[in-house]
Amino acid sequence: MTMLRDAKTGDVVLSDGTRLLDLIDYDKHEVALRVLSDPEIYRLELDRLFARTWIPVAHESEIPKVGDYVLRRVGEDPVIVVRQDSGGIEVLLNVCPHRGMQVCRSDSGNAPRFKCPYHAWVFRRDGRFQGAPFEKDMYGDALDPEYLSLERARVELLGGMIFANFDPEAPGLDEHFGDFKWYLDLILCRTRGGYEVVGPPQRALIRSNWKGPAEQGSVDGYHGIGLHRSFTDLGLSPRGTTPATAGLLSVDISANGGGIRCMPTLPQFLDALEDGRPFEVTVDQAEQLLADNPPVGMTTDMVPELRECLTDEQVRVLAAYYPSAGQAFPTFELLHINGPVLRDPSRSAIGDREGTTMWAGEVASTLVLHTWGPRGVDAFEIWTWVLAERDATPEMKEAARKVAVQTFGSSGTIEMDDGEAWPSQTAAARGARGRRVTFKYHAFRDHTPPPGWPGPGQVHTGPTGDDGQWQWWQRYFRFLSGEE
Amino acid sequence: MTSTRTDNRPAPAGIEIAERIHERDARFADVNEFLTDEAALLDDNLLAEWLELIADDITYRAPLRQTVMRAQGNGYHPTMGHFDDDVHSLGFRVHRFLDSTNAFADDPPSRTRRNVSNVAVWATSRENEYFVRSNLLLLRSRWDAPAFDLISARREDLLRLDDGFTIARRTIYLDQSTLGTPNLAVFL
Repeated sequence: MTMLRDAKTGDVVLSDGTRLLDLIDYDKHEVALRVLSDPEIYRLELDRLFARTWIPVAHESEIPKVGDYVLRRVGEDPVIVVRQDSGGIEVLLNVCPHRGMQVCRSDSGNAPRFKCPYHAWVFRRDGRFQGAPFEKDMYGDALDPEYLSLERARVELLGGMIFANFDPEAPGLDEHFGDFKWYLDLILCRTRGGYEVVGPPQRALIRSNWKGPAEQGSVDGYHGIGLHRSFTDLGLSPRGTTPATAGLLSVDISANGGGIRCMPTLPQFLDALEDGRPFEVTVDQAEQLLADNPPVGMTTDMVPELRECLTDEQVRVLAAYYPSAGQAFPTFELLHINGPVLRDPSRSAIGDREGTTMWAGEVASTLVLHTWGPRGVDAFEIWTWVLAERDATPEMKEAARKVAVQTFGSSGTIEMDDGEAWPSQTAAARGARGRRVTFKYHAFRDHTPPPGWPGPGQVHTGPTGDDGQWQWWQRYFRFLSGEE
Repeated sequence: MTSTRTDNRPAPAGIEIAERIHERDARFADVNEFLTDEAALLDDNLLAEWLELIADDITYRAPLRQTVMRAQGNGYHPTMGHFDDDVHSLGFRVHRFLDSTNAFADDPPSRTRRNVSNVAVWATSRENEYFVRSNLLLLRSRWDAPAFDLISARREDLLRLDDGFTIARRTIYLDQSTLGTPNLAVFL
């Protein structure tokens, strides 16, 4: 497929003459649905985004021992994520440099080396070519081990999550996340022990372009009152008549194409948002608040670790507004919640909603991580990891697993409804008229932090808005047009 | 005829096999009829009626499966799964469809056809409890797509016979490591 460029401007031009950048309207804040269905754009995404940025592939607790590996994807490229003799981690392209077959064919395991089934070429754990059968007879001394090694991606970790990037020129992970990292730390890097997975990730193929969930991830705080209305109907989430009682009020953050909602930890902090009061929590107050009301997924015993792992400013924010649902650019979604423990309404009253919890009745803490793996222009694979703090109790870990499986992922009673919206958007984008319909981002809060807010990034208060999602698209188009 | 299990898997934890119940046994026919009727309730979307078949102490799980080499075993994970349910969460799932018009994942409902076959029955050491294996092939028609989503699984049930049968345990061993249907809004 030939990608045309305008001779004067250098802009990418699609084969029907449409400029790529005409699909985003910076004045109206709209993006054409065509981006969900155009095969030329998909090709561009694989080359210019997925092969050039940081993609989450695994959590290090999935591969604790030397030689442990899991198979994952970076874009459409199959990779092996493998623990090295040194304890480090390599991400290797799972494509034999000889004739292209996948050298490793098991989703997970432990291997001293990888042997391609086709001609039995052997590669070490670090990807380096080790040997081929009858090597001298076949090739003499002509084989160059470096040239014939499995391609290695760059690897960086955040809070145990392993990210891979095939672009040697790309900025490092910290620079990629930018100000957004400050908020990721509040979830992923807040304790000494860190997180562990409760098992391998769930996987399902959804017949939607991958940008359906990615667009929602950064972060659509508004859709719950529509798409997840069934939880209100069953009395599990609020039937609010104001933004505050409908769960729309939060401190939303956007930075570097990521977006995340920081939810009030206690009623007083919801009230503060409603009244427009400044952020005045001191470190001492924060310590007391956190001891009385430990963050999602933590025990009281673990609370002192927050001071060791986070800055004073981070601790102050965490005590009042905890980062909950959001996504780092481009495809790393986090759902860090006290989720509803499902109850049969015919067997027991669900109970009254108390405080600022989104849910009525009993809740359980969990951390759900997602990534969206592209599988052609009109399908993606949803990956769902469930994690708990390593130092949490066994009961907390089991509860984290159950609430995650029952509410998120393949049988999740919340998230399965999201899986209806995304394919519908992609189907719409195939039509001659439908592809001209636009995603509309018209609810902007701009940089309106509560006075005294100690965190970085663009900070938005008021009912959850469109700022983060719009910034996701702006960064997406920077990648596709070659600006980033 | 032997009265031992014919496969090489041990009985699931907490279940002690007493004897194989062969197809010619009237008890086999009762179990088989129950599974047929249960599938019909689900295919007919009679979810409240289906819920009455669920024992109060049910564990309802679908272990996660990975694609692994033959030498590594069957790839099922002991704890992580696609379902991890009890009587309350199953009740919630049912009532989400019955009591809400906003459960979009399966409304309009998919049209399903559950084919239950290869039934094998064992009496357990507890009176009136049966360990039952069956194959499930669920054809799922969603929206106006002519192609079916297929869900294929082996099920292991613990059935309890009182006035009628109830399901005291169900483990659904899915065949796909990546699900080919966007959600599990259907019961298996």
